[in-house]
Amino acid sequence: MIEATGIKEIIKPENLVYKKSKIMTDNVLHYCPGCGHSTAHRILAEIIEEEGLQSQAIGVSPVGCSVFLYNYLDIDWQEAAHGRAPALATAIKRLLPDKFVFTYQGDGDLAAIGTAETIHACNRGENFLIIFINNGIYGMTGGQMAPTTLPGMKSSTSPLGRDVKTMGNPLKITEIVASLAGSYYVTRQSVHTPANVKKTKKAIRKAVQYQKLNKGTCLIEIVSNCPSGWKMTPVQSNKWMEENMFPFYPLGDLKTPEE
Amino acid sequence: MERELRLMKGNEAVAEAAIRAGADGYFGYPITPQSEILEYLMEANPVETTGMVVLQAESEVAAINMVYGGAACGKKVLTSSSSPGISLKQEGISYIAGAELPCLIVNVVRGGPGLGTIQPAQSDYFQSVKGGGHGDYHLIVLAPASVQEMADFVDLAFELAFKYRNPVLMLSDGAIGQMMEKVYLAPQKERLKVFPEWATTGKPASRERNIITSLDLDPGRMEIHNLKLQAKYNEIREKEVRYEEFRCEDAEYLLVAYGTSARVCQKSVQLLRKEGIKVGLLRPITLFPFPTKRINALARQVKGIISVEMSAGQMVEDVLLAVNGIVPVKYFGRMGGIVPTPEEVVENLKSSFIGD
Amino acid sequence: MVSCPTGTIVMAKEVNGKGYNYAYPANPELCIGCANCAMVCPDGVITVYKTKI
Repeated sequence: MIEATGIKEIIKPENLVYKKSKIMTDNVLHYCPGCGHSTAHRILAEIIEEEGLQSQAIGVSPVGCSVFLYNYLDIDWQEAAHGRAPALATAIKRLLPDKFVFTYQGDGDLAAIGTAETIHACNRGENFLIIFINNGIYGMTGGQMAPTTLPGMKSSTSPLGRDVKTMGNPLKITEIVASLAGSYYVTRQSVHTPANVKKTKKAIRKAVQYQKLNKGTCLIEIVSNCPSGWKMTPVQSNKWMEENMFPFYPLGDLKTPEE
Repeated sequence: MERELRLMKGNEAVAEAAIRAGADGYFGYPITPQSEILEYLMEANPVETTGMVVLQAESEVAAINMVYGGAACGKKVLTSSSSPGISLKQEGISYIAGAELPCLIVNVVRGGPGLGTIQPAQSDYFQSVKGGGHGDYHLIVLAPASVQEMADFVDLAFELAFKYRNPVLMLSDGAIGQMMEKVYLAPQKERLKVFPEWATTGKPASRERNIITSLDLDPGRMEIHNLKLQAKYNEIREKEVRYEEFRCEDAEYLLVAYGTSARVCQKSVQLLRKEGIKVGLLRPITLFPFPTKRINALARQVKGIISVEMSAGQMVEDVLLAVNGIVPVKYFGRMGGIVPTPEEVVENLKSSFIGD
Repeated sequence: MVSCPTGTIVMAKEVNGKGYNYAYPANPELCIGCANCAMVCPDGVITVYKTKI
């Protein structure tokens, strides 16, 4: 299929456009096809490599589909109890203030059981980065309803769709965090198209710089899909996400330092 | 080196001892009767002198998880609370034990269950020694009986915690935490500059990445991990038992008590001896590891044993296990925050084993 | 493959060891080296080279 001639002229280091970051280990990712987690991991790895942070970075992984994040990025990791990652990160950053400290959490981790830890860490203005993957569902445990599940959205614990009268409205935790004086940079992005991947990478790069200023917490929400939990194909789920999740959770900066 | 002499509350002594032990961080939450620990540290502001971080967390749950994060970086960290707050910490404590991290948790016990009272009790023995959190793990449990011991045990706790990579619990009570006594304070130790090689301090090129976790989905590996923990606890049982005896050499009856109950029993022994009854007191200092061998040896010497506790009878079960049926073992105690009087203990021993 | 602008990469009819239809370059002569594919690839398996003319 591929021509044998000419390939040797093409594969040269000076012609390299893109290669997987060496911060990503060679372990096979366990995510479902089309899942946004893997792309988010990859971008994070690229930033860590490009900014030279491998010996500075300490990550805190959550309970959720990304619980094994520590197998995929070659930096020091701590595994937190469900929802408690901001508490761990608070201690790590206060005790090792020169390191690049970040948490990576899902919607149940950050906005259900971990609501108090999230809000108080941001309220105190702890100087670490929170990466928040919002796919409106509990993926790892089999597709149950999450605090960010949309009204009418079906899940295994809302089989007839989320009924706001008995189950409450979705929680816009990112807006709440943006309203706290301790949060410094709050933005909402996605990773489902190359253009959005570029924007998210830019946001993470900004957060790395901001952490050095010690001015407060950065939160990057990545609205993502869950093909398995939503019971759709990857392509369908991205389309559904654009049509349903984005109107409710609009992309863009909620709080930037100029304000 | 010269030790400084002061008159202090038990809680304050713990706080001052933590600073002097070179602790890196304290994360706490107010609850009676131990809020003085957090208050003292906030006022002392050690971040200016030794760099020790002091943070009032938003809950006991957050505080224990901050301890986990700090301990995983190889730092000397501690937290404190009182019975209901310690119940909240159990998830975090189980994670710390599973991930094999060093730290100190101080429990100034109050009456329970539930919201209970604020007076002292010893009803958290089961929670501290037998479990508390889920899974097969043990905490090293130190039981001070004086303000001096509350101060001394802080440094001892960190030493044991780092030696065995295990959390240590100091099981005090509301009386010792609040009482004021003379205490000799150790000189200031330097904070750690070199950290254990398993700690997450940022991965240099010279080593593999460190992952601090208590998760492993492979049952084979999980069993090996659990066996390793059990081997550690057996080593602790062999090497770290600590207790104190009072007039046991010729004793015909034995009282077993710790903490405030031990102070009461010491007086009871004196009162009984005046009446010619040969009683001795064994005061466990480590509740885990329990002084099983010593109690078993004493059981061969005496005619009866009473476990005196401010609870419904929790340590008595460990005494029964240690005695293994050699002599009768009974329990005497008060609950609800009431401290038994020496005379009550005297009456109880006489009616249990002598006459009547 | 939604992200590839030239139709170079498609989903194969065969499945790989994990049971999934994988993406592969069916029409490599159409590739313009934009690296969109590599950017969205979750597993980072794609490496892109581009010669300068």
